[in-house]
Amino acid sequence: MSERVPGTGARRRRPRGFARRMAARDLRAGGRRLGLFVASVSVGVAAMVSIGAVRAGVQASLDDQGRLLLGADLELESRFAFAPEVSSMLDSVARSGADVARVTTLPTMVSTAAGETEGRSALLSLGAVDPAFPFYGAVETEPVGAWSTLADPGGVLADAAALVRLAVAIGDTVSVGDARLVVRGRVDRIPGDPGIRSAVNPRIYMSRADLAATGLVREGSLVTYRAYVRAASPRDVGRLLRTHRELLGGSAVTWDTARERERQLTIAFDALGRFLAIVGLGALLLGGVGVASAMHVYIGRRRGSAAVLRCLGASGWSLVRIYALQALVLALAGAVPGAAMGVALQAAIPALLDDVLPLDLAFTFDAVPVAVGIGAGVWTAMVFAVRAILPIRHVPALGAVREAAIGEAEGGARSASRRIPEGIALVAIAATVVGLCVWQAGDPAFGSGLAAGAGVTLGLLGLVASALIRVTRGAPPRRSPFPVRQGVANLFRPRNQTRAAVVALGFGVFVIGTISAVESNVRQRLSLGALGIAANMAVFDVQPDETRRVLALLDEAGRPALDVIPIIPGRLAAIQGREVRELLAENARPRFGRRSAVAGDSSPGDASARDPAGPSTPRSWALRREYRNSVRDTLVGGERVVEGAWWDEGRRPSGASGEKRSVRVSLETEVARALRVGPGDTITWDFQGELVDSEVASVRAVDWARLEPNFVAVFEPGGLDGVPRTDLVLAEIPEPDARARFQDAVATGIPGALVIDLTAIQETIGTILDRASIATRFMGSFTLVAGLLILAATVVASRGVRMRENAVLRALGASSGTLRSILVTEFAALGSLAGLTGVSLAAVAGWALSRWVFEMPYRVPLGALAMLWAAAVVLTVALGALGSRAVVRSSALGAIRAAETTG
Amino acid sequence: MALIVAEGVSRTYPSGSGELTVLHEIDLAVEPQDFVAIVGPSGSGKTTLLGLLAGLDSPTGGRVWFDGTRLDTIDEDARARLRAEKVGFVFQTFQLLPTLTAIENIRVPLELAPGGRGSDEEIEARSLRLLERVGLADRADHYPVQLSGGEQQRVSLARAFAHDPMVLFADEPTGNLDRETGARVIGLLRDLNEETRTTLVLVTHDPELAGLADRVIRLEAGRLAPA
Repeated sequence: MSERVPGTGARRRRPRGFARRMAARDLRAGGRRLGLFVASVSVGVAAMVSIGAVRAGVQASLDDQGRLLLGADLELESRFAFAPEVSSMLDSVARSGADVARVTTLPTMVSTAAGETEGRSALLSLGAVDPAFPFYGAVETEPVGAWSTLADPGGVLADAAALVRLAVAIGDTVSVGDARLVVRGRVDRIPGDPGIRSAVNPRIYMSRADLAATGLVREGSLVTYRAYVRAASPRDVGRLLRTHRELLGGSAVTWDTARERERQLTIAFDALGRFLAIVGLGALLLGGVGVASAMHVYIGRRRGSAAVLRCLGASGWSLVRIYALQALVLALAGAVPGAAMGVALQAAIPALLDDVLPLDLAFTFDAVPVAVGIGAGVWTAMVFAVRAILPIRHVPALGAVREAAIGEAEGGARSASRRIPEGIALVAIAATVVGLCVWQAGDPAFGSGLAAGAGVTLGLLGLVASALIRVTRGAPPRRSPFPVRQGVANLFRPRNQTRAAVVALGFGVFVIGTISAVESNVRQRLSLGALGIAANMAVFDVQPDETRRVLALLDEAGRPALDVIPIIPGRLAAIQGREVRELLAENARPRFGRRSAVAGDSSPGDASARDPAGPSTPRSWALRREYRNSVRDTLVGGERVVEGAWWDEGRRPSGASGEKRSVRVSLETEVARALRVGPGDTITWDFQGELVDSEVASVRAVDWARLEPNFVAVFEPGGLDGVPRTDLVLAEIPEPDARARFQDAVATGIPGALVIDLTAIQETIGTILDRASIATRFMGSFTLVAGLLILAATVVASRGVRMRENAVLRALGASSGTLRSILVTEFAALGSLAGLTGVSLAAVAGWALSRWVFEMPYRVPLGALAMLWAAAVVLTVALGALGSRAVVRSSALGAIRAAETTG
Repeated sequence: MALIVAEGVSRTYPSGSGELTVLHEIDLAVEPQDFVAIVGPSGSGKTTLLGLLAGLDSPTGGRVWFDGTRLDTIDEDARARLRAEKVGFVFQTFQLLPTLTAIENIRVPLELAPGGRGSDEEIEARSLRLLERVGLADRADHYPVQLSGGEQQRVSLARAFAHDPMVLFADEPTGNLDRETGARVIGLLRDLNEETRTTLVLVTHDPELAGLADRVIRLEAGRLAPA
């Protein structure tokens, strides 16, 4: 670097390393006091690195264990027994060297065999398997190797949840349909199967050879047939699908590949990772606020020294360099340990998500998230710090001889032209916040919205804090006790950083409060009571002639049925006169310009990306699926008509044909869209062989998140009389014992009926929410910790001033009790301001998120927010008291001396 | 040729709704190796005049030349470089940098001097020599807070002479010291001045110190008064 010598025009060297040397010296003396601010950077970086490392770990695990997700390379699935053509195709695949295994699953009531324990029964998912499955990964069982015993008929394996529900142990006998089978072992883990699924849907496994003996597979049973293929190479999977896709499509067979499963899981975890990263981002931003606040205080104290340096010949920008270098060192000192902390915490997050992950998360060290975390932490800290440092360049040399000159120069530096660098620094801060949000959100629009939200929140926090401070200032009446007046007055001590403390702590409270507000509303919404659903027991698949017996059993239990809902299973036969088979064949044909190796479309969720159908052709998944329909005369809660009219408003369809009946039907929006139909269109249904013509009368939006039963297709009353149907009986049995007795009575007395205890589902939903909430709060707590650290740092920063004040008060005769009361008042007021600001904004943010993101009604969780507020006050007072112990304890003279050395 | 020339120098400050004139059209010249004392009652504008002559502040009227450079024609950073090269300071409140040890404080002007003043070892050796010269070699690694007022002012003197300034400005150098300590500092200042033949401009209330000067400039209410 060189610069011009005044009056000569010659260039000469700038003193080498001066800024570096001065920075080191200054930091050595004053850096320790910034430790707590530095820790706020550590917390932010730890949050970022931990979630980054987990994301990298999930990706690494997916790469390693992708094939374990399916246990095979290819899965074929059908709700009907595989057609002979499909079976022979599978045989030829097996002959060509690939491995093929079949698995048949169905829900069924399983009970302990007569004479065993107390005769319990439970609804389980039965899997009849070829023991060769899975081809990849090992099934973990107790005893070890028990999976291979499925090769021999006569036994079952069950997962832990199934064993608990049936209250049986290994060696006991259970009844599955007509078969009595011995429990040979417990299944602990199946590759690709998240543990939590077992809690929702407990499983029991048997040999496929025993399936016929159970007598469970009959007309109307909800059986799913699957075949698993292990190909010699991944290419073979693509080739096989390309060759047979027409056959599979025409035979109502859907398929999934290990690669596709991996891709979908990657997308899902990416979304989860991004969400957690966004929550963690709050901590990093607060780290930036912390550093800015630290540098503001630090620079404030160094203005005298800066004036002397100016007197001795240092330029304004060399002062900026001196402090920027110090900020850099502090940022690194915060970021590096923060990254180490993040790597250590990486081990904690998988433990929180263990049950909901379908794969084993190994602890891996990946340098990329560590480097990225450190880089982001240092950059964020620096842009915030530089903004606080820049004004030091205006400190005049005259300040060394006349202190007032410093204030005058700062006043003069307010002119716009002299503040261009400050403007640039502000733009850099804004760009950094937007950049970080967009980067973590992975979507420019959402990220920008997030950044705007964070900016507005921080700005509002600042404004609300200012307003509250103003109000508080005039709050204590003149006659209130001295400690109260003094404590409140202390909030307005010059350079007290009250606003920074309120913003930092308030932002932490805001993040946690928003999570709480949304979570409590989600829980509220998913609770049976909130939905107005009294029922907690549902009996499915009750044949009409058995319904009376179920009702009688309920009467015996003293709990009459709440509702009996007919369920009519059926498939589509034709749409607008065109046969489903014809439409499916059309969809299966490769189209010009599209990928020819398009996979099947097994679910509505992924169909959009893969369905080859044009915009006017009904989608295959919707054409193939089996529909469980109902008949109803009124709309229920959680649904509304969006097109057409409900029965009472509409007209009867005209032109009913002589042989076939034509009835009105109301379809759910997503299915109506997938079938490309709307009001006035016709659909022919196949109800177990009986064809029924229908006209779409209306399209309903249905809130499926509600637990009350609803149906894709609802027919008008009387429209499906005589068509084969089953009944769903709803009842409310509050006592757990009575529920178990009723369940057993139905299982033994009415074979084929499935009893679901909705309370158990509710509990499982609660468990999943608990996990999600722990993970979210875990990330959110980083922000709160960062906020508390900044608060603690501001307490420490003001200790010198506090000591001087207390020395004077002590000299005037104040007791320790009085000093303590002043302290408690000051910090209680600070915590109250910050907490109130945080929870108020959280209540608003919760409402905004509920309304626009979760689209659900909102109720301010007053209790939770009040507790959070109280916690903020208690924590603030505790931190304040902890940081000011020496201030209260010291003698007047000691305090004056200490203040002189620390001030 | 005079080293410092002030021509019609005035300085006003904003005060409440109006302006307060602290200096009224001062004319003076300081020759090389002069020892000039500025005296006068409190509030007469002594420190303001010192600040203007040293280029710490700009006059609101008139002009100041320093070693041939008109100070109002160069910006603040250029004036800073000028000070780093040619000016030393001693303050009433010592103004040692609290975060630096005694020897590090002395090093600062040497490190700031344009082009540097030798290697790190040379700077260290010179700083130590100056510290010895003011009798504080054994306190080299002490921080200002660990030194007494007199010791701090002696370190401040060593720092002021460290880079061989053409002019040393001193603002009430004994103002914060007791009589005895003040006398020691004055003795040291005089000795160093004689050794280095530095031009010395100092503001003082101390008649003993003013008595050592070649020339005494008296200010009253911002105007020159007969000495």
